[in-house]
Amino acid sequence: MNLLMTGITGAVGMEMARWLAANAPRARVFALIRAASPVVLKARWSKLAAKLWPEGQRPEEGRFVPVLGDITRPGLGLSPEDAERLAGEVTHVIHSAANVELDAPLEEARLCNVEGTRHVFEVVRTFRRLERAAYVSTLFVAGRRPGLFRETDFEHEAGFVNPYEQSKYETEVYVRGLMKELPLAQFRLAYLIGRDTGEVTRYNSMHALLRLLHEGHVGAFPGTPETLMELSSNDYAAAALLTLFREHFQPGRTFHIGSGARGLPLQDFIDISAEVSAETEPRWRQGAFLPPDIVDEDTYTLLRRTLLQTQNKKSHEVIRLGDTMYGHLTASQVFDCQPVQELLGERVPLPPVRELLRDVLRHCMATNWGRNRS
Amino acid sequence: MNPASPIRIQGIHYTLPEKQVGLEQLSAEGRLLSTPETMRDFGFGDCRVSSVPATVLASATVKALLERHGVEPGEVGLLINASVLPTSSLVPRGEALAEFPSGESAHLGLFRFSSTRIQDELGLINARTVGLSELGCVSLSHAVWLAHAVMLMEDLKYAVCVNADVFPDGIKREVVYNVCSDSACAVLLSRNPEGMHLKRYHTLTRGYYWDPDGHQNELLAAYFPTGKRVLEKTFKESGLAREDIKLLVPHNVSLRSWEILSRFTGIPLEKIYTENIRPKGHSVAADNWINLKDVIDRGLVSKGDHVMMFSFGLGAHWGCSIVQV
Repeated sequence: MNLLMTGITGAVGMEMARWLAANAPRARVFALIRAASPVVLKARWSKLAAKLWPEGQRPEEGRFVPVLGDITRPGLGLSPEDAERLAGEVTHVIHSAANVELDAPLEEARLCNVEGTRHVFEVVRTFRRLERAAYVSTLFVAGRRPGLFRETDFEHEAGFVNPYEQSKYETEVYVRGLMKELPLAQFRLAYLIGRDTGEVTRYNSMHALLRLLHEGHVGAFPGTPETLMELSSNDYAAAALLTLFREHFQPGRTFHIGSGARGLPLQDFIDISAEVSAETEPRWRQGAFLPPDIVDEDTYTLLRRTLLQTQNKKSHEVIRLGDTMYGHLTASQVFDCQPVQELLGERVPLPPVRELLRDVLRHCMATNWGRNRS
Repeated sequence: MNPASPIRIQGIHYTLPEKQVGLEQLSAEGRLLSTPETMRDFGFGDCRVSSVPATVLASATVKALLERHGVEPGEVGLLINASVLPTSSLVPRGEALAEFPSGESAHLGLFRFSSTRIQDELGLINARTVGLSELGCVSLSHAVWLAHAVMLMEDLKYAVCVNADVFPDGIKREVVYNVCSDSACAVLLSRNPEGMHLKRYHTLTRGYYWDPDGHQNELLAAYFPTGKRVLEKTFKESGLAREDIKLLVPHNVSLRSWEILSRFTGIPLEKIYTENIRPKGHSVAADNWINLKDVIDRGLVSKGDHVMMFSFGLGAHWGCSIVQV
């Protein structure tokens, strides 16, 4: 398998690289990486490789080939030599590069996610030996659509919680069109919060929320105690995706990779966050900080409006962050991940999400949300 | 609290200054932080502004209370002056409404206590006087609770608790999104079995919030969850349920905050007496007791009814009591 991967510097991309190095000894990976020049590319790759694999455990030379490219540029900005080499050698493609900032302006999100994907597959069309390709999407293309969301659910008019998922939804529309001509499947992932060890490789909005909660700035969540939060680990997403891609690939299919009905209830999310926060923050132990209450949507809306009328900047920050996420809580969504879980069985077990959240939060606290990392 | 306690709340009297100042004028004078529109949206209207110092308001209010209930000044064994603002507990010199002592005699000015002045002015010769401070808006409720305990301990016949606050000139009147009024309110405790029974007072102090400016963001987040827990604990300790409460008598923080707390706690807004917020403003520590008197006078509660009184004091203290009328 000669695999072109985009997004190797992202949370799931890094984990896929690790998985491939450990489990696919015959795979050769062309990793598309954005860099200003070949020199910078080499430096970026060295740094990334050092992060991915401990000294002495790096894959042998040539198994991972960094390729200078940028998905926001037509033709991916490839050199003619690289373009020709990929066109002649690549047999598999996994496109996971994306702008995952939930609050990025829509046009910015579209530039990377919609146009970037278009650029990737325009190049992929030139691959003479292509056997299969994967597009990595998100379960949250469901937007505000309430209830059960299946692999076979696509279009909806429920609207979106943030520009990121809207751009991914629009990308899916394009990708499904491509499925008629390319051996292509898409993989919708849960919200990834860290590695199974708790290590956070990419900080995102969920970590920002955990931080605000830890610091006592969050007073309420909309939803119900039973509302499920679709959180998962980078390791699970990578292992599941690659196992499905290699062993259960079906062109034209959408796979849901997440906890689904076994997701984390909102009340548990709050309780675990409070319990772990209390390990290091005396204000939690003393009761000065309290677990946020779960309130109905109307109450939250009133609270939100009120806090926005105050001059408290931190409250505004909490509200703005919530605006990019809470719509999923009030939609009471459940993502149907059963088909994938049945396909994978015990080979790729779901991570214990409660322990995952505990470990991730402990990692966040120990590193001051990534600021104290060496 | 001891359910067999013979101590009762015999009477309440309050004084609100006649002068009313609207939100636009407050804003024009630089005494609001938010816009008048926001404060109006939060349920506020006019606030009351005193032309005399707090000690004068307090003295007049206690005098009227004692006269109304036929209590001889010499029968009062305890006077607690529970002012919120440090300047309200000090008797200003000259024409000042309120002042923090300065100049050559500043050190002596710090000892010009309002409680002893009231004792002297009203002839409360047998009253031990106490100045209670640093409790924010729960001051008067705390004072009543303490007076109740001291009366039992010392076998006193009467105790008077008074709160009077007058905002100094030039100080903002908007405190954490609430428009504050000047006022005075006095509560008489006795052993008259016809009085109201303080059945439970649950209080919670969270010292972390001692700095309402520095910790305001966290305080805004904690306010409703903490309020809900205090209220629930008060119910639990009293053995009463929401249905047993005829009215929740609040302190006059913003109507909006009551709308939210109502939703957090499941106590319908119709059961919360919020009618005084717009016309009277937030009388700092006196609200609960002013409102209690008003609901009694208006016949909204009857003999035997239970009312709950909830307040929050910056600093930070939550207080919740249940009184049987």
